[in-house]
Amino acid sequence: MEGCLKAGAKSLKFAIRNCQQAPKAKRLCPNSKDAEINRFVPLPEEIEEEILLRLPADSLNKCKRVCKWWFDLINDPSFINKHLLRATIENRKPPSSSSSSSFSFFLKWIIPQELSGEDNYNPYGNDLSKLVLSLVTVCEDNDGNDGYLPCVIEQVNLPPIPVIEGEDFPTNFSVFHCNGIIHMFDNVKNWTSILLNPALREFKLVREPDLPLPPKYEDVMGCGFGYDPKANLYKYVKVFGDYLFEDPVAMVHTLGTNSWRKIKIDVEEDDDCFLQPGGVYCKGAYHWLKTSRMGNTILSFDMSEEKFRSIPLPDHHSRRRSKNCLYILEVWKESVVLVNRTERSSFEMWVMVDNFGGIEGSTHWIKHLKIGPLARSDCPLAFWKDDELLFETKDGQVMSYNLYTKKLRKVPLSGGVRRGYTCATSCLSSLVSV
Amino acid sequence: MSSSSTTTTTTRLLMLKASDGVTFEVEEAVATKLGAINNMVEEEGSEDLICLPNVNGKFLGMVLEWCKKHANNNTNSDKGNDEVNKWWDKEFVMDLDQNTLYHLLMAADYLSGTELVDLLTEKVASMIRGKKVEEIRETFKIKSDFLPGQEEEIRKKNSWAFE
Repeated sequence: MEGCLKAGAKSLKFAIRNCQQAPKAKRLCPNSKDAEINRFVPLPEEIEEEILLRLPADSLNKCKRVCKWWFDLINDPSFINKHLLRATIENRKPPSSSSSSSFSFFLKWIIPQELSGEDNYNPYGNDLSKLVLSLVTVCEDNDGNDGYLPCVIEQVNLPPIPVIEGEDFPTNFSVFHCNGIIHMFDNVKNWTSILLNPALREFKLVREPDLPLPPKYEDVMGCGFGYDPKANLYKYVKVFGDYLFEDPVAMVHTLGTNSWRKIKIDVEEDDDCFLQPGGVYCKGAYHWLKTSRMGNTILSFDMSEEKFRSIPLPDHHSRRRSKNCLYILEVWKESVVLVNRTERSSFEMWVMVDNFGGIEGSTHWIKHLKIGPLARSDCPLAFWKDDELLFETKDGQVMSYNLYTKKLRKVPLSGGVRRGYTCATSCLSSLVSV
Repeated sequence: MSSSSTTTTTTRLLMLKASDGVTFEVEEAVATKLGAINNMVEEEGSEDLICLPNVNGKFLGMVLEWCKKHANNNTNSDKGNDEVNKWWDKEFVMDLDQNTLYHLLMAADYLSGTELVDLLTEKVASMIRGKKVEEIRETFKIKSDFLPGQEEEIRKKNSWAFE
């Protein structure tokens, strides 16, 4: 049975797409005279394409409605890939060298509220009406003053999400990113994943079919979403297992198909183990931090090979540490990095080096830098750029910290955020459909 | 061969002839900022007149003006060069009418002036960015060729959540 749940105050206008991918676009523009008339200006096709490739995905989404020629061009898979490649490269450039590049990040946060006694005792009791999803586009051109990050903040309103009977609605979302698609998942409620492309305003729920899995697999340990560069496909993976990690399995889904495959996870048994909710996608693989009584490792899933493997952490981090020791996986300069707290307000960052494309035992770590001490810092959230790290502070602010200049800038979220519930991820503007 | 001085480098002059017969005499260092001319000079030497049958004199002149500015700015190897170039580029594209912009763009593309093509495509892109569908059609004089209802269908698919 389905009902409707309203998320957010504004009207909800995402395009909900079903599992079928849009049919591959055919160029409707042969050599007819009509086509000539409606071609954009008297420019050769390649130049016209070059011009459109410079536009962000949300602009291109509008451009689709200008004429058929543009509609077909912008929907063409090869155009979508070129646009993505360009956005990826622009994001790697230093800001001075390109006039048009802009950086974005996606924030999930909770509006701080007067706590009633009840709320105080319910760690997951964040009220859905207080949940805010923000797409923040940084405009470095106008130099930030007054300690604020110069940016435009757009609110993303989710459409009504069908409620599934007998299951709590997920509220404690973590957010992840791959090629312009945001993946939201509630690790506690194990409900389902939400995929959205904020630039295209596209939204989709991913829910696996009823599984013929033994009862011990009822527990979802984690899930991930990423890109298979070999097949040019997007895949979603959900890991099932128990705390012993005994014969864990994964279900893998290829976006745009109805295909779900069950895959064995061929790694050693473990004890008292769990996957941290904050995984990362990087260069064709998804990585989770796995902590257990035996030690900490990274569980990695190769999106093309559809195989799991374990990657050891830097030596002294493999041992299980006290619960207060904070570890965060992030992507930095196209590498996986491990950020961990060393003292109250200092962090160190380790870069994973994998020169041999995932051959067992080929990975090592380099300690890259020490971050901080940061007077007001509490918890690092994500890099939105190679040298800018987002933090949630003790007094409920989201700050951007420059690793090299050590400059701190506040993200202007009026009223601040409720501490401990903020998630962030860098985000590209892409035409990739969910 | 002036080996004694570093400031007076030998500047060879090239003759470029546009489609309408207008000729330009330009320093090699300036003209070779254009990939197509650079290739010709490397492959065939630069003794002869270089004929460019696909570019009209007016636009060739403008392309060369841009090359000259950039070549000059780059020889004064100051830190501020990027800034100067940027400022100058801005001036260069600011008041171009659409027709000139397109012809210039085609000329720059034909001559493989990559940086100039970048500058000009960015200029056209900036005329689209942030505009509404109707405004874009008006700016570029594009007629909608969708069947009645088709456009509405696409609009529904892509309705905005942010507005």
